[in-house]
Amino acid sequence: MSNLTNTDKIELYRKLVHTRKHDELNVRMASEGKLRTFYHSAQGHEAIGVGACSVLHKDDYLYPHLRGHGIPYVVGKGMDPKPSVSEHLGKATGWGGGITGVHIVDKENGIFAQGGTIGSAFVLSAGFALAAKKNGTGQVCMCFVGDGSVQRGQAHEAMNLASCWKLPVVWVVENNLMAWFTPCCDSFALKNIADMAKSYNMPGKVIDGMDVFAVREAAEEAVDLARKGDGPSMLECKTYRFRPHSEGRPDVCHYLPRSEEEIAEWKKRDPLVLCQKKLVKEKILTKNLIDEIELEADEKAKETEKFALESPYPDPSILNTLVYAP
Amino acid sequence: MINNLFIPKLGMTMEKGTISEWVAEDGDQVQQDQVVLILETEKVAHELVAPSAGILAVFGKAGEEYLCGTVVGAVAETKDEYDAIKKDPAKFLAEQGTVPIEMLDEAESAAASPEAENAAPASELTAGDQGGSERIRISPLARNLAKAHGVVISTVKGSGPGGRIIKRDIEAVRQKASDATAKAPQTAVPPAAASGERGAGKRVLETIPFSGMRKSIADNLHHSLSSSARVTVMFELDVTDLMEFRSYYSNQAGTLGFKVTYTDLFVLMVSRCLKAIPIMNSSIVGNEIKIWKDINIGFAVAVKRSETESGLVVPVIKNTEQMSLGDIAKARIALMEKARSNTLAMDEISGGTFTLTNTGALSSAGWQIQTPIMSPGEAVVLGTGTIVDRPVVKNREIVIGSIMPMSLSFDHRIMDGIPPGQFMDKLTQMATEPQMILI
Amino acid sequence: MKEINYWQAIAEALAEEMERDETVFIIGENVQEAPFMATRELIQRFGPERVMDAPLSELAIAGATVGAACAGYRPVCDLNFADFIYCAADEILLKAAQQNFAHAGKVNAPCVFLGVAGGGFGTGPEHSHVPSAMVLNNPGLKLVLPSTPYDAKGLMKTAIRDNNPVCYFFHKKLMGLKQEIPEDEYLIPLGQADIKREGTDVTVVATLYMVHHALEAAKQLEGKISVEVIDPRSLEPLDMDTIIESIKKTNRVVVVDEDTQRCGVAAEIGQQIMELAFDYLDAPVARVCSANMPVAGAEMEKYCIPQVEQVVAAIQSVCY
Repeated sequence: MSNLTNTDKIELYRKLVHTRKHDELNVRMASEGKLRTFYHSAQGHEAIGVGACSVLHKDDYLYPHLRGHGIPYVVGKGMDPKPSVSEHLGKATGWGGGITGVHIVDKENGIFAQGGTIGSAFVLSAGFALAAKKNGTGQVCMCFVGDGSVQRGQAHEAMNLASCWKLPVVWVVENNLMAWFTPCCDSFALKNIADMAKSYNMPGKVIDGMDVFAVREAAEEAVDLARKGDGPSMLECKTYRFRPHSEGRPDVCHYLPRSEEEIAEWKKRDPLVLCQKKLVKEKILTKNLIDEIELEADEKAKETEKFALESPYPDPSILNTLVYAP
Repeated sequence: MINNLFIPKLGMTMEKGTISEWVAEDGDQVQQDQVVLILETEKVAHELVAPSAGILAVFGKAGEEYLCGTVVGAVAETKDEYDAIKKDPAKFLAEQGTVPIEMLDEAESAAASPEAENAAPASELTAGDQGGSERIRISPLARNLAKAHGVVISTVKGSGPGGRIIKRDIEAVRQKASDATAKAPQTAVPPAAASGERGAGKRVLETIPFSGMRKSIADNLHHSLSSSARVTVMFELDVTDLMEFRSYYSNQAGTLGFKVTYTDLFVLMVSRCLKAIPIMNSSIVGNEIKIWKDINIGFAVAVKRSETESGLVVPVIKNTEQMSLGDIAKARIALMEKARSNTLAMDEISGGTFTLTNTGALSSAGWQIQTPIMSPGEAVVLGTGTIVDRPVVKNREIVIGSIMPMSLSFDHRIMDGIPPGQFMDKLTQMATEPQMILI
Repeated sequence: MKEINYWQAIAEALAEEMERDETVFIIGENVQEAPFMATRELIQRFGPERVMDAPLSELAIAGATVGAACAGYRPVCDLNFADFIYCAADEILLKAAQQNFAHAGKVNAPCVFLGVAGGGFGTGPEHSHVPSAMVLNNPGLKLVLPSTPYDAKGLMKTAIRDNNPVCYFFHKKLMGLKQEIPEDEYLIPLGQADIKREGTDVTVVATLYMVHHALEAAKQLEGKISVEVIDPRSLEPLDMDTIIESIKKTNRVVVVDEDTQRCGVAAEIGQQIMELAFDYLDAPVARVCSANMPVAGAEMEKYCIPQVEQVVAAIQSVCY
């Protein structure tokens, strides 16, 4: 924390606002029927992707979580989220060329793939980390998963393998307490997911996922370990999703509506609000700057929307050419 | 010993034949080589002789058409053998590899007759999906081959599981047919004519059978017309010089031993033209256009078989591209003689690549314009009309010229107007400067 | 020329490619000792960094393979038994297979999944599969099935150099099969069938060990039926042209496949034959496959997987 300059702090805030605005754009476009696929809002989760990815280098590998379909992570890493929205509209300018409407890929920025079946994130990221280790250039892989994916076998297999082989990977678990409609407390045996790490002889830490600074600090520490060759770590960021699992679905716990009180309580700790309050208190953020960032993020979201709407659809004749690489 | 009598394949293109009449009857004692039946094929009538001496068993019906190779009768050496065949003709035929569909009816009725109580029941006779409207089991390959070679699958007995017709069965039919060609007699007799007065809403003056040669000509011409895109172009040929040229050879007939006709001259000139414009000497085969190297010119000859039956045959002079005028004349004369005596072999009336039809002598009024029909499979036919004297302009003066009207039909599917145009130019050039023919 | 056996051919191909391209490495359970021989004696030459003994975790091994492949390496993932592909289905069938397509061709996953396949040793229902159809059901994967040492080597080298995930299943029964192969380097393109025996009466299409069943059947029928044996060598890409050319000649075909009959490879090839060569068929396409049941072990195995007698009978059944 101590090494963060005021500019760094404002940049984190700016990234949170941009992430939120783009998420809201996707949510709106999903309700308007413009999104051609499903959307899992990141609202409430922003601090995790933004905070953790802000410590990554351009050549570090990144495996984004499904929340915000990658937006918090790419914004955190300093990338333009434009192609994410295009992708969801099924446009050729999307990250995945509009082929799946979901998948993110950006080789230049170390994003090689994104999967649909959660759990895979663990083993694929182990593979990216294996490559990073073989490259021998101090790269790390950061992989974001949800509390549901740790229930898959891949999590255990990957943690074991990565720990045995001291792979430079940081697993950031976004524990929003719910896998779809099933609460974590009913589906996972440990109270803290980070406790899994002990079993595999790696550091595991529980972090306040609503606090972007806390996330960033913990990520920095874990990334340093990985870069030094000390192997993988797990960060469990406790968080909460402000919206349903995915847009258009009922917001339930098991089969009953989620408690409105609980949602309201968590919203008090909205990561944007927490960050803003802290920086205002530290007199780093002024009212003017807040308005300026707000305006800029609105403009950016508008630009993204326009870009996505005006982009062409892919030529379906390419589909057949994509099944196999040349 | 039983010897089969089957429909022989009498030429490359023959696929089926019609039994015109049985000269001998079922149960007759016949001698070897005795004529037992008259067969009508495309353009020629044939006698079929008994393959051996014995008792004749008749299966095929007069007036019915059968695929080449179909067993239509048999000669049994002994009475026992004859009885055995007649007791279960369907079984006998099945063993021979082919079953004419009409026979099944007869066999069924035979089975129902008192003296054939021991015969196989009708249901067995139609086993193997061979009969009636039942589906014919046939492999895709065999179906394809049958179609390509004009084999009627309802007459083929399948040797595959459940009576499925397979490649082998189709090949056997074709093999039998080609074996038959080798053995078949090549003599021809006029088929019996039939006529009589009958009422049919209108008063009938005469009834002429639409069969045999007439039917063959009809089928061929109709097939050609319906499977080509015929265009006919008419032009006039000033044959004044050509007449003079021909008269030179006519005067030499005594020395030469033969007469040169316009047909001979046209065969020669056309051959030269076709060599220069190869596309005019072609056919559509499947999805390809085959341009033939051989130039085989057919010429239409009117023949009369009987009081009621007359028609055309088109003998073919083969490889005229290599022949001199004399060779052509001699070949033409030989073919004409055979045509008149109905002794043309199938191979002499098939294989043409171009046809000439001269209608000049058909009317003294002068046969002018016509729209000749190409022989099936050929791309072009040239019709020549009656030569008439007409005023023509030569060197800006009106003189008398001998004009022959020409009608050139071609298949527009194969070519457009340019080759026929070139053909006309070349032919005109040769006809007006006949000395050039020899170059 | 030199004589070499089947597993040596695979190991030799791996060694040559590892020598040639340092992004090639091997990852799997027990790959250093190599119970199925294919990676044997590579540890001594290339060390544990490139011949990596992994935990008993097919998902992690396959996932790491795909991840490293995406990031620029050409890993060879040894599944040991081909049956274990089921354990790693998510990573192989969804991730590897769909990587290039789902990411618009921007990042591909060049890797090889190596597995020893098939019956013959009575190893029971979970160690005797040739899971070809399942692989083929997931477009994006290629499938190589070598039946001889020569093919095994040339195809492995091509598989490693291919820019796509390739499942390479080799057969338990062929391990000791010897053949002369060239001293010099050679590659065999994927999608190029090999006519293992020429004949005129019937075409038998077979891969892996079934090629040898077909050849044995052809031998038994010698003088009666002339059998042409075609080994596609890879089922994706699949060289239908060679098969169709043969059928145009023979008009009859038997497809022999060691995978389960139902919805299997033989059904697929048979259907393609109907689509491409219906008019050349003189008999229905016949197939000999593993029975629609799990593969029994020990003495019962032979009632589940194709035997030479069945191939002979099938050939006779179409040569009526």
